[in-house]
Amino acid sequence: MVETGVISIFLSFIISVYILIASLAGGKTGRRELIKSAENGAVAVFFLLTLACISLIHALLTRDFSLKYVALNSSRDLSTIYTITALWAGQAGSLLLWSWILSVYMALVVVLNRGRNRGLMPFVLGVLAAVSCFFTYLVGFVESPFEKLPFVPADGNGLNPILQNPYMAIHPVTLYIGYVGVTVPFAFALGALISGRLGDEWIRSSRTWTVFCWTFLSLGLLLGARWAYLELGWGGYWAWDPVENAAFMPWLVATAFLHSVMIQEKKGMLKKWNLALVILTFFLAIFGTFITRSGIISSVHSFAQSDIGPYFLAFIGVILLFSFGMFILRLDDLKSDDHFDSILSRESAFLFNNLIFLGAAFSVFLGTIFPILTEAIKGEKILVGPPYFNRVNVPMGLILILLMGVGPLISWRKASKQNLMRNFLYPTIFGLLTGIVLFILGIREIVALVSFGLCAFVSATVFTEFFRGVRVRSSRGENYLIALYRLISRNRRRYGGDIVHLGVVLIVIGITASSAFVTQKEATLKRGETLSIGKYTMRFDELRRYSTQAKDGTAATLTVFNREKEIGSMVPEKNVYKYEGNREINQETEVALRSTFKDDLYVILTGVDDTGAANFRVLINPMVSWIWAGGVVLLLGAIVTMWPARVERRAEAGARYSVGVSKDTVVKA
Amino acid sequence: MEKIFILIIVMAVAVFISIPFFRRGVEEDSEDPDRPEGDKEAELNRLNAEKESFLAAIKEVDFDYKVGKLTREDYQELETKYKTEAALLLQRIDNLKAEMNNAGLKDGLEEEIRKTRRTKSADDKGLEEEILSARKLRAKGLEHLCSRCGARYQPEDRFCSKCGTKLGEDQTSQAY
Amino acid sequence: MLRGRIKFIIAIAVIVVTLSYLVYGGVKEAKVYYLTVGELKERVPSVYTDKVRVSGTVVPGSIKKDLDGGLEFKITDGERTLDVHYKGIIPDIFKDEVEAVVEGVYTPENVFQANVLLAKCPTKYESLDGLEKGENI
Repeated sequence: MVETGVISIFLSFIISVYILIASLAGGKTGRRELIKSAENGAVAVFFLLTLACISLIHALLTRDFSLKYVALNSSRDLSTIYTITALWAGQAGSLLLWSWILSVYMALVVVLNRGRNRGLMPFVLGVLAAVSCFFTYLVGFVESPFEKLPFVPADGNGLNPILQNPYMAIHPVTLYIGYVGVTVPFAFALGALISGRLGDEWIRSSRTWTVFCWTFLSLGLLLGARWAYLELGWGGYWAWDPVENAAFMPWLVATAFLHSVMIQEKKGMLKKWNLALVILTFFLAIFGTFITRSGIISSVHSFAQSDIGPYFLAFIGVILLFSFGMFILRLDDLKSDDHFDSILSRESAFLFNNLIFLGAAFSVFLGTIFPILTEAIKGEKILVGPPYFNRVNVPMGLILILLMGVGPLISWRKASKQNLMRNFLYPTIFGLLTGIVLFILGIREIVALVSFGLCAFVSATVFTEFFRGVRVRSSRGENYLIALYRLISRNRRRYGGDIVHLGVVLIVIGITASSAFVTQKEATLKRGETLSIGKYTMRFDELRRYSTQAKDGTAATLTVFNREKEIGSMVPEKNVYKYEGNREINQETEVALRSTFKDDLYVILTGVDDTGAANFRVLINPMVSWIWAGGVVLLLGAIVTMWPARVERRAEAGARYSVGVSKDTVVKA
Repeated sequence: MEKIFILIIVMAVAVFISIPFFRRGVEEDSEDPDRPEGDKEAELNRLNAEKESFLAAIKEVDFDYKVGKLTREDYQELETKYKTEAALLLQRIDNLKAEMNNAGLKDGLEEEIRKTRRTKSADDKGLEEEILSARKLRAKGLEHLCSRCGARYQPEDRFCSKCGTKLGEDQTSQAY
Repeated sequence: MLRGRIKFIIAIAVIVVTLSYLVYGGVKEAKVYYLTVGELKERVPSVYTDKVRVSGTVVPGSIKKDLDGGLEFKITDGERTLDVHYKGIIPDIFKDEVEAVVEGVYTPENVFQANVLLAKCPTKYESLDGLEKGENI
């Protein structure tokens, strides 16, 4: 099937070029056949790239080692599932995946807009096609997964053991769905700029897409963190590694964009700002993948030193030039419909939210490219590590939490004293009380206290939102549960957003606790000896060596006690993978983890000596589970926001209005 | 074998992409309410979209007031502002439509536009006018009258202070 | 109106200034020089007080476990060699001839005390050296 794959990719590139030309021509001249043909092309590209993916998977599963990609990323002993996920394990394959996901989006955008946005669509499609041209060109001509080797090796190199993990299987796809998805709002924005339709059309049409890709960016980040926590085995989940930052930056700006878009919808302000933001988000997504792939910033995760870097740089240059060129061209058509009234208003809260997100993104960006900057300017490489990132981002994070509570409740235009009191009195008291109570209970770290207090504040504001809404509805005689359900389903954006904020609060609580209150201990134990940490005691019972087809394992069994009570056993491992042929990585550490909502007990078997004594490193990470739980809540909230509202609702609402209205009026106009 | 498969695919794709050039003029614009050409139609769409957002804003402001996020003064001020804007928009929409009619466009165009608008229900327009005129009256302070005895009541009241009827469903204009 | 505007400008300025202060302080506090073995040795004695990151290849046969649970090894840039002492988690990939990155301080005893050890994830993509020729198919 290799030939099919090669031809499919080649065709996809050709057709993408065609779509670009045809859609723009069709948009300018208004000739419908051109546009329709381009749209069909989009569907065709999706079909072709799907074929290409199937071809590659087929090659992987049939162990076709004549292909360089198959030889480098799989082996005969690799299980089926991970052989399939090897599709995106390497540079060429992941580029193919990117192109494929882009083609899915392109086809979906075309199909879902069959009957609307006709003015915008040709240009939106043109932009999407342009991006598709770039990626299909890369996969077709620069870094092809179907590149052949001059000889056929007996076996492949195999997949790095740390990637053979369910989280690593889905983390790239999830992240890509987010990363690639950012192209859609970008295409709408650029389409608006090119076509001159600079009203709210582009924002309204791209809104759901934005929330959708933001959700996947968030999930991708969380999954990556969870994978790092489980597999990298150093006890943490985030290291401010350039690759992590690469995914984090677009997320920050996308979040800012999500919020500022609401201001444009409601008040017609921040038009220029929103355009700039979405262009920036897309730039950061492409830049992020550039950093990851080009090895330009040496990160422990770096994929490869390949020639792909310059192509990305060129592409980024073109995007920035074109986007901002169009932006400046249309500057006059982007006047605001309104203005800011007071600094104490929802508009301002959103504006500050944006500024801080941007500030955070900028500081992460600076920290990430610092080595490149210093090398270019001073001739020596200087880098900044986690202390820099934490120092800058923690305060900003705290302010953002505060804004998260203030934003939804503060009134538009100008918050009166009355409004402030009414909405914020109880939450503020609750937040302060929480801080005080925690202080009394012995917590002294200021950052943790402030963080928990603010989280309490935000939770209280969210609760107030729901409570008041339910109260209004149930005053008409609905029972509370039904009222709650109806409330949420009729105001999906607002309450979905509140649920998302709640998820964020949970995540922040988890991060705060697990950053500030970790305890760690290392010890070498002989059989029967114990180690105490916090309220836990662990007794080293047995060292077991075993062998499977894939690996030689060493497992240490520890019985765990919570104070006096035995609560179970944990088995950390240190394994050596067996390979025929020459493999580069064959050692693997399996962490033993026991998670509760209170804390995680995290055990690493660091070494075994000849006497049978084992070296352990044990950590207690408080409340890490809250992070993952928060992620689930965030996802639920996002789904609520995106759930389409049925059309009948509007008629129903209209009917209610007329009923209320006619009964209300004494004299009909 | 594979080569034949590939050939078929290539041909199918080529055909699929070229089809629109051969079916030109067969399906007209019945599925397309807002064509790229025609500034007037684009303007109409824009106005309609704005009107929609004002209606949405009125509903939201209504709800915000009930939920307590807005004070009464803010609520009335915003409401007046929005409904005035919406009324103006309705006027402009009417004018534009009249203009378009006079310009001799297809008779059925308006019907088509309305029919194929998936996001609007049929009697929206009359409804909006009702809303707006009613709201003008409400602004003059004729809101919140007990349906039994006609006495004025406060929005926070649950029972009419004059005749004691429970105030509920039918009294206030409900958004949801 | 103007008064309102000034308030905004001030608020934005405050944010910008705070951010700059945080960034500046952060950089100062967290600055780590990234050097090769040769560059490190050239900067003696000023480099003894800096936080440094050094990369090099692990000299074959130099890896030793010492008595207090730490790790001793040597890294080289091809010309000069550096003695390293490290205590902490050892990455799975770490072994002879691997490209390693150590972060810590270079002591006046000319031993590098590292608190971070990273081993470069070998290029999964490009190294064909590991593949052996199989039978002709």
